[in-house]
Amino acid sequence: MPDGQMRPVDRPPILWIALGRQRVGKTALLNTAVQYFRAEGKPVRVWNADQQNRSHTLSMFFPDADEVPNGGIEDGKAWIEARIEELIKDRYDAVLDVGGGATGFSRLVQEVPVLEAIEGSAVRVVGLFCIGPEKADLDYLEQFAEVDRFMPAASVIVLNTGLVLSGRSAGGAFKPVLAHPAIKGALAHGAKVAMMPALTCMAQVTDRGLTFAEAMDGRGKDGGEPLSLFDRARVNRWWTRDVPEFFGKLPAEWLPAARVEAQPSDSEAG
Amino acid sequence: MSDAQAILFRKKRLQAFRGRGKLYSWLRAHREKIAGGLASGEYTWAMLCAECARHGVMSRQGGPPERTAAWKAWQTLCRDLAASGESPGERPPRRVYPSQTPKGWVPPGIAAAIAAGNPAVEGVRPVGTGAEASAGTALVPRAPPPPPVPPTRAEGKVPFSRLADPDDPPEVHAAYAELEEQFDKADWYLLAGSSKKRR
Repeated sequence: MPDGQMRPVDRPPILWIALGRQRVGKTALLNTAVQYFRAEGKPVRVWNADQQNRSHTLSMFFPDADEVPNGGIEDGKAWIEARIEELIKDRYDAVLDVGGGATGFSRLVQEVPVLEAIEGSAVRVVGLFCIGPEKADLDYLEQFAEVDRFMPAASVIVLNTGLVLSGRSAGGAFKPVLAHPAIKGALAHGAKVAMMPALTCMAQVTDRGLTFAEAMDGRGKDGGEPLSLFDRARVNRWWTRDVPEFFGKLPAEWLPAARVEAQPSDSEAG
Repeated sequence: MSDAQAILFRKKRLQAFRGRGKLYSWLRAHREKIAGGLASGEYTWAMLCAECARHGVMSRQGGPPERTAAWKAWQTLCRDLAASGESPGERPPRRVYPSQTPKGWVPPGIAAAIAAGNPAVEGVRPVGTGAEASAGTALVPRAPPPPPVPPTRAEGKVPFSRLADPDDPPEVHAAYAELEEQFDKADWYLLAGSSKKRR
């Protein structure tokens, strides 16, 4: 068994929840994560609870995604509750895109101690707080950390360098944000901070509805144009070097595990 | 000869003081002699006023200054000097300019510090060596002290990041130090072709 990979039976299911205000890259992060995990042979269920967006949602990239039905916040909340109960019962790994703004998930968090309920059922919740270089991006983190008390022990503050304006350095752009006590408080309580690598042609990939592997290989979708030569090179480097580095910096026990095929027991083999 | 003509002060150039008159300046210029004479009873205010008039310092009426006015000006002078830690009878020691510094002059306290082996006077030693050593001192070029060795980071110690405040917990420093490396990589990508910028 490779280092850092536990058998699914030995480890709690992982539920990745991307949090943050709108347009900070939650869906892009989860899209990348699911593609990456699946490419590594790690089965991950996809829950799309983003009720605000209809294009560029996880459902667009993953036809097998469970999608929240059209409706209001209460419907979204009920749907998330049902998914979580299912995960606790069936023990699988999943990612949840809750969307930004007032969501069913934020309503659920305000109503009940969700974290205690989920983690009490031996499920590891990984909170991914996506932020850009604006201080307002920290509102979610502050809100969840201090008011709603939704701060999983496994939390990652994801600095999305894709949101850094062209010509600015990532360090300079994120410096004011990193000075914020909300981040320092989270780090002092065990959270990790990671830098999501930028892919300057991300929009070209997602607009075509391509996976990163398809984009890198110059394939089109539904008769569409493939990426340009240089964009393919950009995707290639990002997908094969930067993305593995990004996920490699996260604790292995916070990542989904590879499926373990049923092995014949000694008696069966013998 | 009257009492007023009994003393003769050498004329001095008077220094003007803001808010003070000529009489004040004259008293200040001659304060050591005046203080001594007043203390010993040798001078009277009448004599001083006459001498003052001889030096051209007159009252507004054109005559010698009034004794009361002279006494008041003297009181003001005494207060001013006391405020600056001086006294009328003593003049502060004259400045010794470098060009006038005698050979072997030792700044007050330095010789004692050298003798005591005070590290603050490292590099200053008496002129000459051995039998030729004199009581004076000189700045003698010695081999410069070795450059300060930067504190070595002990194995396993948490790194320090300039993105964090010095008093931030070690978890923050560790996380930010790792981020700095990632930022440098990202900047190479985001700012391709430009020189690396300091944050």
